[in-house]
Amino acid sequence: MTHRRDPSRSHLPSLLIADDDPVICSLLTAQLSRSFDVVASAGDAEQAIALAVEHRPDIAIVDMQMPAGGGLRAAREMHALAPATAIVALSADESDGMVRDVIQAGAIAYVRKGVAAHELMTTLRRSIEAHVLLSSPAPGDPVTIATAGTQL
Amino acid sequence: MSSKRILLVDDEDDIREVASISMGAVGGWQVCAASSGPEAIDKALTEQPDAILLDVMMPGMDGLATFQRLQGDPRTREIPVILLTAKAHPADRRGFEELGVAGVLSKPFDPMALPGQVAELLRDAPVGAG
Amino acid sequence: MSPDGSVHEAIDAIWHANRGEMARRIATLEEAVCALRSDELDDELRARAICDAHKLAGALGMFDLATGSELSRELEHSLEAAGGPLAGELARLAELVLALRAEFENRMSARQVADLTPSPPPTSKVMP
Repeated sequence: MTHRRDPSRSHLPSLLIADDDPVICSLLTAQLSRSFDVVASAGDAEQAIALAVEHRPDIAIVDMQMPAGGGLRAAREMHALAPATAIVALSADESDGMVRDVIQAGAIAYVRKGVAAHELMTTLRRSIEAHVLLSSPAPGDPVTIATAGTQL
Repeated sequence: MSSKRILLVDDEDDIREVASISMGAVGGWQVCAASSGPEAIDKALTEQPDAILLDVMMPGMDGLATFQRLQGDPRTREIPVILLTAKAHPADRRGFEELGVAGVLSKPFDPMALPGQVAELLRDAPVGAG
Repeated sequence: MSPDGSVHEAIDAIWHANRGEMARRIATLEEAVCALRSDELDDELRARAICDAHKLAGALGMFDLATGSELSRELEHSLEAAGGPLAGELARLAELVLALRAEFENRMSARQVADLTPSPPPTSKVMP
């Protein structure tokens, strides 16, 4: 689903939500729409990749359990095709293996499903800042993001 | 009979009809109904119900978007809203409750028990929940 | 009739009015399982089946078919799983759909029996 960008919200960071559960998409939109401009939501990896290329959002939340190849594929391809978009992985799986996989796929942070809204917002904001720093031509020291419920 | 009015919002005819019977005949509420988000907003404005029972998954404007619109209007902000969802994982429930709804009820509901569950949530809701 | 009795009768009438749509939704799930068997479950049919399973899960329990709701929910989750249901799950899915159809038909039969059951004979008789 694509939303035409409302000029009155252009001062907010643009956000893409990718989750095959429409209830989660709806909930995240409701939780985040005051602080972010939700420009699109996707129900599978293919859609997520296409919408990321189309909208070039500042940040994308990507569910790691999506069908059609799953979140890892979406993260990998979004990272390659829309490198300016910071990717935050969303998952119920907190294993070291999953965290390692999502970072290798290009995600800058990982969020546990069900994390409180204020923690999610903090993670998203810090992820955008970190992504900008890491993407700059002369990167400095590595930036670490660590908030409750998230890992780098 | 209670003079309290409840607005039931669900795109599914059978659920809306059963909930109407449940809240009306069993619970003693006066009932009005809507089958979509935009219709719910119109009826909330015109009917000024004492509570709203709102399905989450609806086509077009879904329940959460409808809730946000209700919250954004001072004329409907104070009406307590209870969400109705067939998908109610514990993690999702916390997210819904953080948005400021009065409560979350699962589908399928027991028509004989629904009025009691609604009454309990409304009794426990903080002032201005909705 | 007791107030509860009239409520149940009213809910029964809603069941009667909507049973065609519920039957259609179960048929979609049967179609999806058949398609899976011949490896022809495409995204469109899968999406329709997930949607119909979701609606059945949310509704059947209202009509005293709590098992039907649970079966539908299980079907919904299996169909939603990343990558879709595997061929190895076919037997399980077929079982679920058959059980769901049986629940539905039993509910239908119970109502038809109630409709067809004649009124009991009068219990009084004139004393000679």
